[in-house]
Amino acid sequence: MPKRCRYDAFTRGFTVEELLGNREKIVEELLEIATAARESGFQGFLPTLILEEQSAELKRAAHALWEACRSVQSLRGLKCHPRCHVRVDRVDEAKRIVQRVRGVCTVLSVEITTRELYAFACRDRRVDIVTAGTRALHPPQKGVIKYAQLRGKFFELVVGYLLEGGGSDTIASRLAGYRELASLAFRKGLPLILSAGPQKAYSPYSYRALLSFAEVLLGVPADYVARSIGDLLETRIQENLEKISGKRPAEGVYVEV
Amino acid sequence: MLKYAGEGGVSADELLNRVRSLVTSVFGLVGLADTDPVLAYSWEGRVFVLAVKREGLEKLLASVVFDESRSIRILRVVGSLRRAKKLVESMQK
Repeated sequence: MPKRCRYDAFTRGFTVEELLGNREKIVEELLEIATAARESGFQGFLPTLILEEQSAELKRAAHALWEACRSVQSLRGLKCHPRCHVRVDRVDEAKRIVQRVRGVCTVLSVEITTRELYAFACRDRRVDIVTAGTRALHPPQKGVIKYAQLRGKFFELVVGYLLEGGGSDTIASRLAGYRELASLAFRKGLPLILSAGPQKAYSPYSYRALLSFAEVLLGVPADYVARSIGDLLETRIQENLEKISGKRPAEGVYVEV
Repeated sequence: MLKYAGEGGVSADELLNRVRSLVTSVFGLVGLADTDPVLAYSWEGRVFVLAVKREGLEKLLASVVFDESRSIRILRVVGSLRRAKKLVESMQK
């Protein structure tokens, strides 16, 4: 069993251009993020690369983030793993991006905007986290949920989207959607992640505040969310690292050295 | 224990008012009555210790999420003022 760790699952949200810029600047920013994350009660964080369109530079940007994460981890001792977040409208584009970046990120997530993307994200084995976007707060179809259960998908609700550009009526209707999705994930045994979402400057929600949010406003037990962003996410990260390093070449096969 | 992570400092009254208005906007007056936050201790306009009723603690923590500026950060939840002061002292070092 890996050592217990609480992750801030969606850290900052970098663009491809930002990561292809000055490498030292990125490492410096990640070091500042590490301090803020520790202060907010996290023991690890997943710097996220947001992929919104297919381009030739995707893999290079993901690789730059991977390298930056490695140096931060060795400098601060806080766990830091790269995450790629695919945010597109079409399934074929999402497939192409996933294929290119899967080998250079520890965690891969797809943001859901359409029903087709829901089905793709829940079925594809390469996707770890299914993120509910602002446009698709309806629950997925029964068959899709079954796939998500079989493939061990994590469901993610971005708390930052809740407050994005809207009055109290918009917030209330989004919160209702979040509640429905959270209770569905809980009933079906799908791990539920709460995260801050993309930001220009990193300002995380405290770990404790996120758990209370889940308990009081989403109606999901705090320990369920704590386990999802703790042990379960850690186990998935270790599995993915083993897959990338070649220790798990195929489903059910483990190479011992 | 809260930390103000925004630009500059903030007065204790200002922070308390902000927390109260957040609780009221999310849970209403009954929620505020359940929570009843009172300032217990502050340090240099950055770190604040609020005393709240036990039954309203989760509500207060949940409503901090609705702070749009994200400048209020929960550092710790502690059971006594003595423990909170000790933690602030360790931060000062």
